Amino acid sequence: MNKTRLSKSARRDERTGYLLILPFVLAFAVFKLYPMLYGILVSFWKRNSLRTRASTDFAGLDNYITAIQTSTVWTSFLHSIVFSVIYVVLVMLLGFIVAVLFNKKFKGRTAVRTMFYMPYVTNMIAVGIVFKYMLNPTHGPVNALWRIFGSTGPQWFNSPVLALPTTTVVAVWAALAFVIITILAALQDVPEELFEVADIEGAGRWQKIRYVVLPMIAPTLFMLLTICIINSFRNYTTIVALTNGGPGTASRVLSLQIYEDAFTYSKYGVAAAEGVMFAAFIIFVNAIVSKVRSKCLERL
Amino acid sequence: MKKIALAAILVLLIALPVFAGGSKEETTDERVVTTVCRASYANEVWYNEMNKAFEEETGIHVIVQPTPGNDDDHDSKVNIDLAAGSTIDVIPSLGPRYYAARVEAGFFVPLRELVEGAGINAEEKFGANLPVEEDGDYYSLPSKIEAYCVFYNKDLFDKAGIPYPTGAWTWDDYRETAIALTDPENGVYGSFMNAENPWTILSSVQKEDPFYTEDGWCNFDTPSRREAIEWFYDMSNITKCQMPVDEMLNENVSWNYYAMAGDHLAMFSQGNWFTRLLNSQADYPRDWKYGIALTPAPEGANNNIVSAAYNSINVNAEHPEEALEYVLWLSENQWRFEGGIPAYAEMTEEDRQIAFGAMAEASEGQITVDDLYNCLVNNGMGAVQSDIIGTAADEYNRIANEELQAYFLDLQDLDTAMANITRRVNEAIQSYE
Amino acid sequence: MPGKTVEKNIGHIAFTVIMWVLAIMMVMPFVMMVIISFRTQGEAYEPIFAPFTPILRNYQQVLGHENFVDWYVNTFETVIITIILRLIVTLPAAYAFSRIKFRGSRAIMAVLMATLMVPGETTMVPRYLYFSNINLLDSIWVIILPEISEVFYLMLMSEFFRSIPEDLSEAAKIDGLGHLKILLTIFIPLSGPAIATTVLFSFINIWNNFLDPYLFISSIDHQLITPALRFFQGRGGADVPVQLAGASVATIPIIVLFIFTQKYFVAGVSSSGIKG
Repeated sequence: MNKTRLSKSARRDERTGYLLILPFVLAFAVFKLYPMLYGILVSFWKRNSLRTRASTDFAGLDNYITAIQTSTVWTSFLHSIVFSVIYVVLVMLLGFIVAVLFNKKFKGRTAVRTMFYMPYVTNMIAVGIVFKYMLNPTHGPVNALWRIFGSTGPQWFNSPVLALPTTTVVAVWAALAFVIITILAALQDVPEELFEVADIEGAGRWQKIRYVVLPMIAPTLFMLLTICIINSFRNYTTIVALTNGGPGTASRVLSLQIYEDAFTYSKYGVAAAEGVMFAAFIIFVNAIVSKVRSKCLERL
Repeated sequence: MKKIALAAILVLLIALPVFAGGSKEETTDERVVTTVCRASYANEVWYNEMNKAFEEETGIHVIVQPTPGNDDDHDSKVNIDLAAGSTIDVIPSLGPRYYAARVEAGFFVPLRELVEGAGINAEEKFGANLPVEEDGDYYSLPSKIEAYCVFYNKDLFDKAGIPYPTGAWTWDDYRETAIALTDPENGVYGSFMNAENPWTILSSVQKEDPFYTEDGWCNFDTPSRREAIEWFYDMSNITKCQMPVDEMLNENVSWNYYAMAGDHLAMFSQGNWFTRLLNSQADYPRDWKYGIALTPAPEGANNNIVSAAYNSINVNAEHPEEALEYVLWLSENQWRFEGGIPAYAEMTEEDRQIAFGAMAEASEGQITVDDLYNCLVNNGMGAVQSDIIGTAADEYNRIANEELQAYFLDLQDLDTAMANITRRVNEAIQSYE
Repeated sequence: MPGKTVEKNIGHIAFTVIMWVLAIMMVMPFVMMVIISFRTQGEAYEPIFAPFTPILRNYQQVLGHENFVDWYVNTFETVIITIILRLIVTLPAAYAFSRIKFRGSRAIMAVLMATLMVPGETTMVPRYLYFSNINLLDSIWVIILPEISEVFYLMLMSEFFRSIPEDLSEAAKIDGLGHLKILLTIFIPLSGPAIATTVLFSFINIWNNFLDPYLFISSIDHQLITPALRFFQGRGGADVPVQLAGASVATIPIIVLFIFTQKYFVAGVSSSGIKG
C-alpha cells in the first residue's frame, strides 16, 4: 500500500526529472555528442581531397593506416607529448608553490593575487603578439638583458630546441591562475587544528606539507591533474599564435597537424582518423591517471 | 570611489565601438558582386581604387571580404569556405597551385560559353596564358602575369664602385656581384631572397626539372635540385653574401621586407609586382634609388620564372551575372591598377606604354619603360611556372619549405632534408589515394 | 627573543618584496603591450622605460577599421545570447541532477562527464563538416548553439545546488510546491553567486575563443573580436605597435571585467566540483 504510493510520486518525480534535463541533453546530443560520433564515421570515409569532400565511400581502415604511416603525424604526436609533460609538470608545481605562498599573509596580498590571475583571462592571440615582441631575439627587451653581458641570448621561438618549451612556458604563464586558485581553496579548507597538532608534535615546514597538507588536498590535486592533462592537449591556438609549428617542424603539435591535414590539404578522412586516435589516447592517459589516483588515495 | 572609476572605465570600453569610426552603408537593391582578398590587400590603395573604378563604370558595387591572417592563411581559408559552400561570387587565385586544386574540386563555373556569349575569344586574346583544362573548357580568366627580375640598390652599387648589372647574366655572375657588394661591417648583404620555393631551388626550376616522377611520385632529390639548394646554402651560410635564414627569422621577415630594409640589401630576386612597393614613398619611405635587372639564368636554360593570377566564378555564386562582368573587367583592367603586366597573348605598344609607363613614372626616374620592357618581357628568355603543380602540390610545397629551412638553419644535412622531403611528400601523395 | 623577531621581520619583508617582484613580472607583458601600443613603428623596440611622445594613430587604425564595430557587436551578441540560453537549459538540468532521483541519471551524467575528456581540437573536423551540412556556418549561431550545453557549467551548478540545505526544498515540498516552482522560487534566487560565476566564465571563454570562430565564420562582418585580431597581422612583422593596439583593445575589457568581479571568479573555480 505504502509502497505503491511512494512509487507513484517517485514516478512523477522521475518524469519531472527527465523533463528538466531534456533541453540540456537535447542540445548536448545534437551539438556536442553527435559531432563526436560523426567524427568516427568520417574517419572511415574516403574524403581525402577537395574533389571528394562530400564522399561517403567506405574506406575501411585506410585513413588510420595512412595516418599511422605518416612520419609527420608521429613527430607532431611526440611534440604534443613533450608539450603536455612540460606543461603539466610546470603548471602543477608552480601552481602548488605559489598557492602555498599565497596562503601566508603579506602586505598587498590581494593585489598580488589579482596580478597573478590576470593572464588567465586574456586570449592567446593577443598574448602571442606580446610575447613575440618581447622575445624577439635581435630587438626584444628580454634579449636586451643578455646583451648587457655581451651575449646574444637564446633564440626562443626561432630556436629548434627552445621553440616548443618556450611556447609551453607561455601556456603555463596563462594557465597558472586556475591551478593556484584551486589549490588555494583546498588549502584554506585544511583545518587549522591539524597544523596546531603538527606544531605540538614538532613537525618542520616540509613535514607539515608532506604529512598534513598533501593528504588533505590530494583529491583536488588529482582532479587538477586530469584537467591539466586535458587542457595541455588544447594547444592549437597557443602554437598558431606563437610559432605556427616552426622553425621547420620543431614545434608542430598534433592539433596543428589535424588542422592542416583537414583544412589546408582537405584530407578530412585522415584528419578525422587522427582526431579519433588522439581523443582515444587522451582518454587512455586519463584512465591511467584515475587508476593511479585510486591507488594513491587508498594509501593515504 | 574605486568602484565608480572602474565602472566608468567599463562603460567607456563597452561604449567604445559607438565612437569608433566606420559606419556601414546600407545595401539597397543596387547590383552587387562579392569577392575575397588577402588581409594585406584590403589596405592597398590600388585595390580600392580598382574596385571604385569598376563601380563607376558598371554601377555594380563590389563587396570585399578580406581573410584574417597572412597570405598562406588566406588560401586555405578560401578553400575551407568554398568547401563549406560559400556563396562569394568571384574567387581570385594567385599562382597556379591553388587554382589547379580548386578547378579539380569543381568549385568554379566553366567559362567558355559565357565568355564567348559576351563576344570575346579568350584563346586569341590570352594565348598561352589562358589555362585550358583537359575537358577543353577554362574556369578562369587571367588578370595579370608576374615575371621575375632582380631589384637592386643603386646606392650600394655606387658605394662599392661596381657597375649596374645589364643584360643576360648567370647565377655565378650574380654570386660574384653579391660577394663584392657584401660589407659585414655596415651590415650590408649583397643578396636577399626569401627562403622558400622557388628561390631555394631557382636554377632547377629554370631547368624545368620535373617535381614528379613519371608514375606520379616525388622527384625532388635530383642533381639539379641539389645544385640549386647548395648554391643557396653557399650564399647564405658559407660566403654569407646573402642574408642568412636565422637572421631572417629574427627580423620577422615578411613579404614586404625588402621595401623596408633594402637600404642594406643590395640585390633582391622577386616578381615585378614588387615595383609597386618600391614606388610607394607613402607606405615605404626610402632614401635610396633602385634599379631593375634580368633574372640570372643557369647555362643552357635561359628561362625566366613567371606566374599568373586568375579570377573565377564560384559555382554557388549569389550574383553570377555581375560576377561575369567583374571577371571580364578584371582581365582587362586589374593590371592597370596594380601596376602589372597584362596576360594578353600580344602586348600592343599602347599596352606597353600604359603598363610600364605608369611604373616608370611612379619610380620618379629610377627605372625607365625600356628597363622594364627589356627585363620583364623582351628579355629573350623562355617562361617556366614558379609553382609546384600536381598531386598534393600544396603539401609538397610546404614540406619542401620546412625541410629546407631546417637545412639552412644547420639543423640537418642536405641528405637528411632530401630524404625527409621525399618520404613526407610520398606519404602525402599516397594519402590522396 | 627580540633578535628572532627582527630576523623574522626581515624574512617577511624579503618574502613580500619577492612576491611583488614576481607579480610585476607576471603582468609585465600587459604593461609592455599598452606602452608600445602608443609608440610609432620606429620606437617599437626602444627600451621600455625610454621617454617617448604617445601617439593615438595605432588605436585610430584599429578602432577605425570599417568592421571593428561589427566584431565588437557580434562578440557581445554571442556572449549575451549564449549566457541566457545556457542558463535556461543548465539551471533545470542541474536541479534535476542534484535533487531528483530518476533512472539513468548516473548513466547520463557519466556520458556527459566522459565527453569533457575530448578536447575540441580533436573534433574540429567532424564539427566543421557537420555544421556545414546543417548550414550553420558563417553566423554567430555556430558558436552559440554548441556552447549552450557545456558540461562544466552543469557541474558547477549542480555542485552549488547540492550545497543548498535539503530542509529548504523538503519544506517547500510539504507546502505542496512542484519541482519547477521550487527551482524558480527557492533555488534560483539563492544561486546568485553561481550564476555570476557562470556569466563571468562564459564571457571570458567566448570572448577568447579563437579556433571556432576562425574556422566556422568566413564573412568579415560576422567575425568575432579574437580571430579578427589576425586582420592586423596581415601586413607582416613590421607593424608591431598596431598589432599591440589591437591586442590591447581585445584584452583590456576582459581584464577590467575580471578585476571588477574577481570574487566570483575565485568562488567559481573553487566551487566547481573540482574539490573531488
